[in-house]
Amino acid sequence: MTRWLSRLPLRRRTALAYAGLNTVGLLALLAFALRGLV
Amino acid sequence: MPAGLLIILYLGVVLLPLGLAWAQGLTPRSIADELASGAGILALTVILAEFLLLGRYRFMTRRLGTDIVMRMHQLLARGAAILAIVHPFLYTTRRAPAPDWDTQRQFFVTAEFSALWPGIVAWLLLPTLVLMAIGRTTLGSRYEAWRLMHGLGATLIAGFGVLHALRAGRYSADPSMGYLWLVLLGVALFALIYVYVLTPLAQLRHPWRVSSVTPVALRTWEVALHPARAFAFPYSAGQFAWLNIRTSPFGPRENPFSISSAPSTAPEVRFLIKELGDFTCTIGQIKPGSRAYLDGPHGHLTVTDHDAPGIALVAGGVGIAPMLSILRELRARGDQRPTTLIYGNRTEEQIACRAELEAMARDHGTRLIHILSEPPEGWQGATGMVTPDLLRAHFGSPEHRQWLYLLCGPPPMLEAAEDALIGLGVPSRNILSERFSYD
Repeated sequence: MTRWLSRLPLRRRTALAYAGLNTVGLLALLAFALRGLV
Repeated sequence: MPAGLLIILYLGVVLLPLGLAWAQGLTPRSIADELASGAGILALTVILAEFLLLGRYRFMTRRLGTDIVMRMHQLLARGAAILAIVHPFLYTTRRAPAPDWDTQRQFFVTAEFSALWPGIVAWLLLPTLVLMAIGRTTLGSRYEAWRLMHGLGATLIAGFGVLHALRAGRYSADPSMGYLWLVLLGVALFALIYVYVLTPLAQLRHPWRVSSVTPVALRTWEVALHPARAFAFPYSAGQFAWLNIRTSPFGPRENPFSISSAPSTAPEVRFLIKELGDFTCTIGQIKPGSRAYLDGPHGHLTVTDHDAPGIALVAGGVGIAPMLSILRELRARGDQRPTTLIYGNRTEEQIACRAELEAMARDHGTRLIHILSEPPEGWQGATGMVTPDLLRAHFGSPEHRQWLYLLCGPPPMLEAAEDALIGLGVPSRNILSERFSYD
């Protein structure tokens, strides 16, 4: 994983960090919206 | 602060209001309604957190680099705009003034204009601000005017967004949530005040004087500053600062420029400035003795903390400024590590500090490779752009994989050079880059 990351250009690492933040944010939003189902 | 910790801290801040809304234990409404409220809460928090991603706080930029912080600022604002845009359309519950018995706003979404208008204003302003930021160059707006408008617009969005949440929000009706919004708004505004009021106030105690303005290439100047009073300005070679040449440090008329001098020549600080528009077009008219203010140093394009066996510098145009600073400092310190500079320009007249660079090549062994995309007749050097082939020719051997690579120039050049270096087996931690501009 570290080796793979070390071969990613800066813009890809930035995009990856952004995608990670988005994923966590959207998952939290979905969990919030769906909490009534459980 | 480590990058991972900063990301976790950011997530913690951004998810805090959503978590607090969840913790209130209100009966969930329909999925669409909860999604609408959640989107609004998340959008507002991301907007408020944007004030911390201004690229002006050294604890952040020193570790992540200004490029990443600014890129995140842009991308996260776009995400927040999407969430904010869909927020009002997701509600399915009836819009009407909530009756007294519906204390938890379970069956009605407020339709009172006093609660809606701040949200409508923020809703209209946010995409406008994001689109104007994306199209700033295309729209041809003056940088200083755009910055002022961007700051004011963002403040209005934050203020009206919080006001809307407090007046209309189901979850924000809870006092703890209301206080949290006010605290977050306070932090956001303080972040702005820190940059535009407190930093200039501190600069008043550290005024500078322009000591010389020297042409070093076609439409490129080297501006030297000296402290008007005795004080230290510690920086690392390769960093940049926000420069404001006028009688007052207040206002949006400051621009980021790379420092071209070596720290060892303190207290003098020099900047290499190319006439690109706005303030920079008047740089040649600045008189020695003019007052100036600096905010900095910023940036992570430095050789400090890196003990690589060699240093490669790849510069495009005025991207030579930090490279000059680094080369000058390495020479001043007697650093014996091999250095290679690849310096790309469009024309020969644009090569800055050419005599000094050639003296470095002659006297200190720096390998100097000029490359021109529009070479004059009889040009003996490389031509075209900084290509993977050119980089392979100079850094293709296995020992070059451990070198430190510093890149500064236009984004397409940086991306091409970074891809090529990674293709040559250079680990990305050995590649540091800084852009001229942000789209």
